[in-house]
Parts: sequence; C-alpha cells; structure tokens
Amino acid sequence: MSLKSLLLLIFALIAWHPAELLALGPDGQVLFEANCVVCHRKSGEGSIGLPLQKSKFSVLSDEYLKKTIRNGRPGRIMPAFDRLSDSQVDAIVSYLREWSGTEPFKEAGVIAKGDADNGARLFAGHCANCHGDAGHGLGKGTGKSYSREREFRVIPPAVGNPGFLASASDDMLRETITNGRKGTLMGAYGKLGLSVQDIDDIIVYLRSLPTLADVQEEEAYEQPAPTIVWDSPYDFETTLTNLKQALTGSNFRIFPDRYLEQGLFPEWEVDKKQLTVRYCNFRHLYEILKIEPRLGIALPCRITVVERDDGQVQLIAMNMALIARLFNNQQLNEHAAQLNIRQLEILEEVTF
Amino acid sequence: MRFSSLILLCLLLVSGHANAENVMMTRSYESFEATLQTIKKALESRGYTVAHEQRCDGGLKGFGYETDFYRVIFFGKAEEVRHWSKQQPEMIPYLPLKLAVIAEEDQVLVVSFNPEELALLFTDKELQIQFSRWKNDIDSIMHEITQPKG
Repeated sequence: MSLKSLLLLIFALIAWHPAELLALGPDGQVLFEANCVVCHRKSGEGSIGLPLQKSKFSVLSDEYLKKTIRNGRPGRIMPAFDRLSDSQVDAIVSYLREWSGTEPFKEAGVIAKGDADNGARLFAGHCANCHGDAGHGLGKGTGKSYSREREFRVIPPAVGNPGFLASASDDMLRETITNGRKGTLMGAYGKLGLSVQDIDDIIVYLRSLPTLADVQEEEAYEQPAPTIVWDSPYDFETTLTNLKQALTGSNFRIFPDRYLEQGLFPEWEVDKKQLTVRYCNFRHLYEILKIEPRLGIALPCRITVVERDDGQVQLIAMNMALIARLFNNQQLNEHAAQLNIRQLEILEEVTF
Repeated sequence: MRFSSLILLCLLLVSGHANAENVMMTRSYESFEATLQTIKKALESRGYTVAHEQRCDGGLKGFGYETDFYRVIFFGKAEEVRHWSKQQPEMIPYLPLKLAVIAEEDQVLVVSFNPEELALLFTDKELQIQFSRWKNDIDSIMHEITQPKG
C-alpha cells in the first residue's frame, strides 16, 4: 500500500468513525444502527426483532442487555453477536440506556430457592397461556408482523429460551413476575394471586430448563449435504412429466417452467437440459411466512431436472431442513423438516 | 489490494446493515418501487443480470391471502451460473442468486443468504473464493441501498 493510499484510508476512517479513532471509544449509536436497526427498526418499533419499548428498559439491567446481545436467543431469530468486542457491546448498551431515558435495574443478587415442581404447575397455570409450554413461546412467528394476520401481533418472549435464561437474573425475573411489564400484556402476578414463594418456585422451575450449554451440545451434529440429488431411471421428458404429476398430486401449484439460465443468456443459448420446476402451496406459504418473513430467499420451492453430458437425468433440490437452520428459527426448522419429507416422497414417486 | 477496494472496504465496515450473520439484511427508507430500482441498478453496475423477478405478493393475493409487497429478485452473471451449475451441480438450487425484497409499511427489508455461510456447506476451494466474491458484492449492494439518494 502506498503512503497516499494509507493517508486516504486513515482520512476515510476518521470521516466515518471520528469518536472511535480519536480514542473516545466505540460509538454506540453507530453500532446500534449497524447491527440492530435492521431487525428492531430505528425507533425500536420492532420488525423481524421484537419491539424495544423504552419504558421496558427500566426493568432491565445493563448486564441483561449485554448478555442478550452476546447470547442471542437460540432458535428465536436474535443471533448471538459474538463478533462484537466487549467495548462495542458496552457502547450499544450505553446508547440504549441514553436512548430509552432510563436507569438500569439494580440487581440485589438474591438467588431464588424453592420447589421446581410447584413452579412447573404454577407456570402451566399462569404463564404458559402466553409464553407456551416450558416457556418455548406461543404464537407463530417472530418479532412484529406488518403484513400478515396472526395470533399475536407482537410475539410474547420465550422465557424458557436458554439465551433468555442465561441473560436474566433471578432478581429481574422476580421483579417482572411480581410487577408485570407496563404497556404489555404481562400482568403483575404479585397482585394476581401469586405469593413471594410461588414466584420464586416459578424461577426455580425456569432454572431447571435446558441451558445454553445443552443447546450447543445438541447443535454439534454432523452436517448433512446442502443439496438433495436423485438419479432418475427415465429420460428427461418422462422425468419432467412424472415430476409435475407428483407435485400436482401433492396439492402443489406449478409455476411456468424456467430454464436455469433463462434471463441470463439469449434464448437460443440457454441450456435446455436444466429445467427448474417451481411449485408452491399458497396456504402453506402464507403460514410459513408468518413464522419467517425472510424465507423468500429460499423460495419458491423448486426442483431442477438436469440431463448430464453422459445422459443421466437427475433431480436436484435444496435441502430445506439444512437451509432453515441459517435463520435461527426453531419453528421454521420444524416446518422445513416436514417439507423435506414431502419433497423426498415426491422424488420417490417420480423415480419409482 | 487496489486503492478503490480499500476505500470500499472501509465504507462497508461502517455501513448500516447487518452483514456477519447467516442471513444478510438491510433496511431501505425509500419506497418499495424505488428500492427495487436501486437494487436493479446496483446489480447491473456490478455486472449482474436480473434474470427474473418473482412476485410472491401477486401469487398470495391471487389466492386471497393479504400481504404487502414481497418480491424475490433472481440475479447472476451468466458465465458464473453456467460454470458452477456444470462444475458443481449441487450448487444448482442456489443459482441464480437471490434477494428478497419485503415491504414493511413505509420501509423495505432487503435480505440475502450470506454466501460465506453457504460456502461452509460446500468443500470446493475455488467455490469458496467465488462465495467470498458474491458476499463482497452483496455487501456493497446493501450498502448502496442504505445510502440517501440525492
């Protein structure tokens, strides 16, 4: 790199990041806008991510916010921001504190002691209605919906999520259950019939649920192939006809054929032995978009029929079960696994 | 590294989109149509061709499901798509590349797979370099989308 390039680089960095380069530390607002706004929106209204309600910050400690950024929420969209430095995470939290105009919740460090079995019963009776069985969350989807009708416009937090439990202290849980959350559906259960001990029993129960370490151990699986490839015993045209019949029989609507290279090469140059059959069941699509609005990048469902140079015809499709994992959305994983089974049944039928 | 690449790298480091996750996303404050045009121009200026625009919203509405604008832009460089579909047929479901464009009231989300995360699913070394190039291009396209238009 020449001296001129180096000087210009330094100039560019100072122009964009003055505070950091003048040793004032990372700029929390810049980091918030770079990392959080895309999901939570600039004013915290929520989107793919939950709304960041300003008043809620008074019942959250800084430690909770830092751990939330660090741990994320496994299976619930919010990723673990492990690429941010400690000072960057601190800067975001300071910015959120200033932005919300709140003081951090003060932790007293009182650990809950009690009866997990009683806590489980109380949770099922008082909490599962919104937070789901074992706090897995209720309602389809993520964050806030702008486009589709669903059970909750804002999804209640999955309080059994290991990322949440690793972030929230017993004090914070106790405060929230006792006094509720203003501006949300979360009631003040200290005034709704639960005793101090009942509330601690619920906390003890939540602490008995799987931890982050358990989830990480589960995720250490063997990686399956990203693509499903099936050899067809039939010629190209027969395979294509079989495929369309099988899809129609499985209640899928088929879009007009598209060659893989269509739109990229002039029509006469397009390889006619790579034909993509695109299909959709709109009812399923609508349901699945409630769960994961970003799924468009894996849509529409498609199977490409290819004739190789040696004459072998193959059917090639995305492994949806694997791809779904990239979204950090457990509900989507479950749907994708079912979709994969249906896809395999179709491929079996085509090549039978 | 060329000087222009270096400056671009600096700009990308501070751009307003989330780019180190499995799914790359950015938010546009332009109208949906204007965002689509910005994306198409940004793709073309980097040598990509828009192969197809899938109107998911049209399909859903046609079946009676309410939805805001929802499109998927398929794009690629013709020779790259041909090369990889022949060399590595397992890549076919991921070709051409895609951007989902999702309306959220007066804002627009633009989403892509992070090619570097997809790269982890494949072993071919040449393909890894290709994935990195795609990642850089999508990064810079997303950066362009967030820039105020004069």
